Amino acid sequence: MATEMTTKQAIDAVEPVKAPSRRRNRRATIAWLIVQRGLMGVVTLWCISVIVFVATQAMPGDVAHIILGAGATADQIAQLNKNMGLDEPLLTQYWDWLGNVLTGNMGNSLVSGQPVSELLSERIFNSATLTVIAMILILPLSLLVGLLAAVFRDRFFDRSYLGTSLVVTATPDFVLGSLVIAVFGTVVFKVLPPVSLIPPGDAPWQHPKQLIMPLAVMTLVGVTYLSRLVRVSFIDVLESEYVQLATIKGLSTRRILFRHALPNALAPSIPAASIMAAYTIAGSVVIEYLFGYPGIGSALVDAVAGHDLPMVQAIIMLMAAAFFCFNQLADVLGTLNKSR
Amino acid sequence: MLSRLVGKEHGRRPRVLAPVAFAMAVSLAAAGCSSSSSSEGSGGASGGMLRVGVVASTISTIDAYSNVRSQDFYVRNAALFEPLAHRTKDGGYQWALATGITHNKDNTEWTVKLRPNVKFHDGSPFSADDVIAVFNRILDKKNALIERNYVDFMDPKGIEKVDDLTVKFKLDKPYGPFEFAVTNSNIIFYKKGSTPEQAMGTGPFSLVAFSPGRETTVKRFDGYWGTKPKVDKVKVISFKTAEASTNAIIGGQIDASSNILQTSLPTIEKTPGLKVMKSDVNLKVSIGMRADVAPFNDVRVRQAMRLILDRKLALSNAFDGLGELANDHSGFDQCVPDVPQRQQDLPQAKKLLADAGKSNLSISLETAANKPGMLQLVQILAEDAKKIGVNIKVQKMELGAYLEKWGERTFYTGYDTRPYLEGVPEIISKDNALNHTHWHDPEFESLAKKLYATSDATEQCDIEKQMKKIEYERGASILAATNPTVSVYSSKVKGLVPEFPSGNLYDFTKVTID
Repeated sequence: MATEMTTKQAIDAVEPVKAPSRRRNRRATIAWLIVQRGLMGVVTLWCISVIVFVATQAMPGDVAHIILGAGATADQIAQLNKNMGLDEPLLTQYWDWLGNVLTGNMGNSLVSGQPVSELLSERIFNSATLTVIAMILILPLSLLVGLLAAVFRDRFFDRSYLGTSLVVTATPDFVLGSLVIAVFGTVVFKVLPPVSLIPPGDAPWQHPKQLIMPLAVMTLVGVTYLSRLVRVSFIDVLESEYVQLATIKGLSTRRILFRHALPNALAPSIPAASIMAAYTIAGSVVIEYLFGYPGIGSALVDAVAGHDLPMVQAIIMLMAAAFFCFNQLADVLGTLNKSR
Repeated sequence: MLSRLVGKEHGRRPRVLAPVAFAMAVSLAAAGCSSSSSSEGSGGASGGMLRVGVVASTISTIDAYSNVRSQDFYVRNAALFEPLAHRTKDGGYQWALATGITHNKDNTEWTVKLRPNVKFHDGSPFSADDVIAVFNRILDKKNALIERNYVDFMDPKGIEKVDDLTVKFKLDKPYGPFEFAVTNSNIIFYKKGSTPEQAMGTGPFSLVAFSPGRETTVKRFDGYWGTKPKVDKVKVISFKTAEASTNAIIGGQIDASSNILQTSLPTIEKTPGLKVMKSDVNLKVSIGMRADVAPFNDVRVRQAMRLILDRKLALSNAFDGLGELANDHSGFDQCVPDVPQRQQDLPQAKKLLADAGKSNLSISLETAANKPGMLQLVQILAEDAKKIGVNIKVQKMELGAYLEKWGERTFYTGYDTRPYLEGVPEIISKDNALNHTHWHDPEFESLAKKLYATSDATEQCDIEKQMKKIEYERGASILAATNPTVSVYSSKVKGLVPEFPSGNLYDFTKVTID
């Protein structure tokens, strides 16, 4: 909220100034805003890294026991801890990690000893692909469904849409995914691959069939959430005086909807869409795990189970950075919209 | 579980299908409905690619002695590398990289003859130097390898090269089951000086590609000394969960897997084109009782716990009736003592507890539920115990937390998959992590000394029977039933056999694909 005020104040402050200097001031203000947000992002990520480190240390069990299993002797556990550098004090371990990160090195996996960047590079690309395609589907579909529901408000389409979206929103992604797998992959129809097996080295879009089910679930969850916001915005706009005036003037429904209502209804939905993108990134953990999709979400589940701190840190930081960026985008878009 | 879940959800909320179908249609349209089907998995009577599903960690490595040991590690190693010999069901050996092992009279000097004309995947010859390099790595404490537990009677300085195909092991004290120890299936051989990434073994397949936690592709090694594989390639595909592996085999994405959800077997059996294969029953889920602290430091309490459990119910409900009843002694079904099958006897259990002054015993039983049927087994025990006023509180824990206190727990679950000769050193160990029940029986330990001093198989078997009888009478583990490994494979695949003793799918040399 504080940052939002700052943005608003900054924009308000430049209002009375004349055009050329106003543009200069505006550019300077935006540059300062970006620097400010960037610094905030760095601090946020540092805080997250500390929280993740503390949380991982607080988890019961240690990585050496998990790797060697029940048959390991105390001296084997101690030796493996030494080999992995886990016999160092916690602060030293953290500073070593932080020092590496600041020089662009995300460290090595505790368990396999391989560089984290090597283990994650392809998975990051796969996850980004899944999320981007999901967002490409979610945004126009949400708009379309929300618009139709608003136009046909309280009629059959609207009521069945509201009921369906309520059910979908209330159903956990995991259950929804399991249901989709059973219906289309294993039990009823068997028309789609139940597991997203993307061969190493291949881009996900080279195997579109493998993407259908995870994308369907992500899209379904995203659309049912976002389209409700679009619907409400559209209903507000359709009930406004200027739309009523346009109707009285005899403008066509298409012109009223797309020329007058859409831009105004869209504005409050854009920040929500940015937040939706952030949630889609976080939600991909469940989807990737369920469908066996080779992304960072499924890697995170394994890394947490294996107490592999460098892997956990790298993945959480990546997700947090993406989450932060989308939140900031939502914030800026919301502020700009208000000032307009 | 999946089918149960689906059935329930399907009946309760049919409307969910509408949006699902809608989203499917959208995604189908977006993805262009293009097909990615490939010819993988098909092939003639010889040739083709076999796709095997395993449950594996994201962070597995290609190293033959990696500490990260998911199922993919074992399947990959069995294709790329070989041990000195394979153990057989009858207790004998099928020689692989060795052709025989001889010893002196007092079992302190063992000579391993290696197979001639064996080549590594790069064409270089396998020799004594490679064997010595591997044993030195295993015995080096700095490497923290679990294999050291099997051969820690050796001194690296006592390993000598006699010639290119002969290695001599001089021991500080007699060790009878030397052959058994060095033929452990995890003691496999790679080329001395090669890097782990090269995976330079002598196995029937050589490495094509490895992607950690995703897949390993191997191809037929034409220079293999033994029966050459018929398939061109094997792709070992990693899945995060048994659910995913099960879905993939039902959906036709893989040809075979031994990581299958047992609860999905009814669905699988009804699926055309799939076959189910059960392994020998060598896995026993165990309930351990720490014998050096109350209440289990009293043998009457331990025996009472064994009598409380309804083993037939455990077999049918916890293990889906797939295995056989077990009788509270470890090891496989060879050299079994002549003792009656233990059955539930609640009055006797109640009497034993009363005699021990523990009539209203209340105790926690901790489990990580990391094997099929484990959680159900302890729940059945807890329910049975209630009938005689014993309160067993089952606590399910995350595996990492569970293992952290391994060796310190009082009442807990574990599992036994090993032949007796491999398990006994842990049962008599002074190390609490190995001898997690803390059970020390002087007669049992004395017999163990005799067992490891003789190399005579008949004498070993007699001693084993006596030791198992002691376990039955006063041991510290409840071993109720065995649970086999169940594999599922496509009916197009011929020649798959369950590996002894694990039951998993490791041997692909005889496989053909229609």
